[in-house]
Amino acid sequence: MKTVHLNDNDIQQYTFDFVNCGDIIIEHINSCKQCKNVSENYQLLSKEIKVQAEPELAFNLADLVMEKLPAPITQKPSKDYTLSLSIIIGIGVLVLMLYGFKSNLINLIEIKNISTYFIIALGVFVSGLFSIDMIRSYNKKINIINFS
Amino acid sequence: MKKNQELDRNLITKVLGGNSSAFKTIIENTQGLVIQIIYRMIRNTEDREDLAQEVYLKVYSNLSKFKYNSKLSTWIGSITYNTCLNYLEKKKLPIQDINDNDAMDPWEIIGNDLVGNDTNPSESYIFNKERSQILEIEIEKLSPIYKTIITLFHKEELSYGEISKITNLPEGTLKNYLFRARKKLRMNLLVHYKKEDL
Repeated sequence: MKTVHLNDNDIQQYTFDFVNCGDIIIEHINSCKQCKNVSENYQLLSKEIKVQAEPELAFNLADLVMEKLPAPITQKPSKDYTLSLSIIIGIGVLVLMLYGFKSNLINLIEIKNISTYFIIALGVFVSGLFSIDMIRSYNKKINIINFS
Repeated sequence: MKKNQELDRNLITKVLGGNSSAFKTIIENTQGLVIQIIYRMIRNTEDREDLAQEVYLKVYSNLSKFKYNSKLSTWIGSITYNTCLNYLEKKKLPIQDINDNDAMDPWEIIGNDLVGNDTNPSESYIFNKERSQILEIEIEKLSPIYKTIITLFHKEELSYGEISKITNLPEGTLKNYLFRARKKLRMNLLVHYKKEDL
């Protein structure tokens, strides 16, 4: 058992997050009236917050919002078309590039040096990681913009 | 939980299908949480009312983007929280308490002589005297973020995960903020009320 008193975080963890609380903390509080007292006061504080009056608006929010709603919304398929079109154009450009640099690419594949393959594989792998990261951060930013 | 999600899905499908009145049910189901967040984040009454409407108009126009990764109420809560944060930033109002005294320790402030008693007279006295009024005043003194997370955890009884999704704070940071907010609230109650009340 700890001989010094627990710090506030430990006491709060015992009070509100008992499942993740260490045995030493539990053992200490069970045998220390001072720390138990602080824990009980936190419990009381929590109970008091729970019974606080609910805030209310001076008007009927639902009615007011319903009056201001724009025309009924429907899902926008046009966005999907734009995405599909972008993908098709992207693939087209890629195919054209592959066709244009065909001879160079064939020469590249014919290189017998294993380290070249290793460098290419590494490059592709790193580019893949960057792409994933870019997509993730883009989605995150778009979500934040949508919510704000 | 699954039943709620099913209910959410049903309502959203109806709204997206052009049935606007289903949106009224969404408002009625979630306005408690929205109003709580707005009241804790924003002080000005008129702005609170405007923001509450703004939140639901945003929800309505973004409903087709809801991905069912969380409860609908949690998603609406996060829109509310972000709307309030933007408002505070625009008005250049403090979001978090810069005078947050992390170094304070309850034992140092109260003194072991007082806390060391079997019963702590100041604390029991505070909690017996006009509890809710005093508590309300002291909660109001906390920073908007602290007020909000304390209310969401203790009053709305949301889980760490749900509060984390609403506030976009990592769970570790959220727990840390909650510790500090409760500690500050308790310390303020003790410091401001023990001398004159005892």
